[in-house]
Amino acid sequence: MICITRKRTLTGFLAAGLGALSIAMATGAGTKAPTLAEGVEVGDKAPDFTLTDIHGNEHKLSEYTEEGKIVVLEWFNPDCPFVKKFHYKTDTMRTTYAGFEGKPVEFLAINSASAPGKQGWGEERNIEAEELYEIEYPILLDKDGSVGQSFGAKRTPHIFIVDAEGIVRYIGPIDSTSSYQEIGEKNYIEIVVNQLLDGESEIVTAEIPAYGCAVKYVKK
Amino acid sequence: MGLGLKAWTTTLCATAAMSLPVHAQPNFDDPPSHSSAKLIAETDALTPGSSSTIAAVIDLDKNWHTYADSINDSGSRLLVNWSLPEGIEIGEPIWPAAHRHVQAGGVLDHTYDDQLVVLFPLDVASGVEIGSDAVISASLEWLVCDANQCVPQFAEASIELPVKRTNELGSDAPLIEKTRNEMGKLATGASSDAVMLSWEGDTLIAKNALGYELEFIPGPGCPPIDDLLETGYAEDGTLELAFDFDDNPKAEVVGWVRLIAPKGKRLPPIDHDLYLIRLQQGKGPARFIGEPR
Repeated sequence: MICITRKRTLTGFLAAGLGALSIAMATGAGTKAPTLAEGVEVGDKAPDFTLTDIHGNEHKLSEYTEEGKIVVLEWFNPDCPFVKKFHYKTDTMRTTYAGFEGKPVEFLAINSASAPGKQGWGEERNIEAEELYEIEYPILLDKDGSVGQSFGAKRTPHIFIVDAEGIVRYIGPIDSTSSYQEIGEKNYIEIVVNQLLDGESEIVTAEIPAYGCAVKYVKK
Repeated sequence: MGLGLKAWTTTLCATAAMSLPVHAQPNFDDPPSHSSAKLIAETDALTPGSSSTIAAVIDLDKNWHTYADSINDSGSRLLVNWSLPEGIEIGEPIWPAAHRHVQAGGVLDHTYDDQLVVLFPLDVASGVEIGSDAVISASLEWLVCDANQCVPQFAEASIELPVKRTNELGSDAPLIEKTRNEMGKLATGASSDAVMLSWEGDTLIAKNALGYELEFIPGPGCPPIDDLLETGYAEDGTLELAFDFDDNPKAEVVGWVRLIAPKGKRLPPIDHDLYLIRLQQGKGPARFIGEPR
């Protein structure tokens, strides 16, 4: 069963352009809805961004796609238990990344935890995690949360896969179970990226409800 | 059945039943505890050929919450893996109404504070031997979060019940009954309901004319709702919920409408502030199959 919340659609460059402008006016935990960025849906043009990784190197999404690469964006928080599940309790992300070695695929982890004191915040903690988890791809810091909100990233892990045309082709979990203790039968990153590499037009969608830790956006 | 005085044997071992990590790291598989779990039963014994109810109870530390089986942006609902004796069957969980929980960045979840009680129907086959003891065990996994962090929780819980010709309500029956009573009043369309329901195409409209604010809490299996963050709360007393029935035109709308008195306003009193909704698209509010799945 899929139980998702549909977002209103802003397509193409409109979403990319407005994403950074319509940042949430967050209210903290409560019942009323804050104004927020629309985010993207499958089929939308991915909002372009430039972010700096934990070692000071800049990464621009469109530079990767212009090189003909598929880009796997992984919303990341080193202390979220579900992130630990895939990076440390198991070797899921290491083997998934290694499986595409030599192929036109780029992985980027993005940490939009943007407030001191929040789980997973700060360069130092992410550098520690990179070493401990043996992550071989860049961890980008989205310090004001604007990139996360332009995509509509709500949780960690939250996967967005962008094809070489810059179109979002998958939004969802890494695997097909919400259990912390089990590994799902399906690895959606492997399935989707292989479908894109094979030139398939119909891309799978996740079959389970969303799960993970809420992205710890800064209150504005 | 009457209120029984017998207490059940309930055991709980909060253990981390997990496989070994790839690397060794202190406390990784022994996360800090911010909640506890146990199983309780409605009756003091099981009777062959009859039905009963057991429940998984999660007690949460102050300022920590856990997640509903609902439409959520994050979190993870309680997972229960049963180990049952022969002749005992457990049915689908019955979840209570959660609360709407909006965090910075527009992250919308439906959560429980303080305590979560999930009910499970239990059927006893007629062939189960009288005089035996039935040990019902479960591995439980759930996620708790506070404002800054999330932590997984695990427990192995069991309850041992004798099999008898008759049974009585047990000491935990009041908590199970309280949970049932908090499932909300079924919205029937009666004029006495504080919430009136109608359909406009795929949009369900819920109205309160007395000035109460409304929120909609999706239940298990509820079809997707367009922009639930915005439309699931109505300050003006009118919810307009646009459902997506594309995947299943016969999907049942399951959830609750909660009425909230605005602070500082004196409003006419209402008999019920929580209404249980079970509807199919375009059909009236009188259809009631049972409790939420």
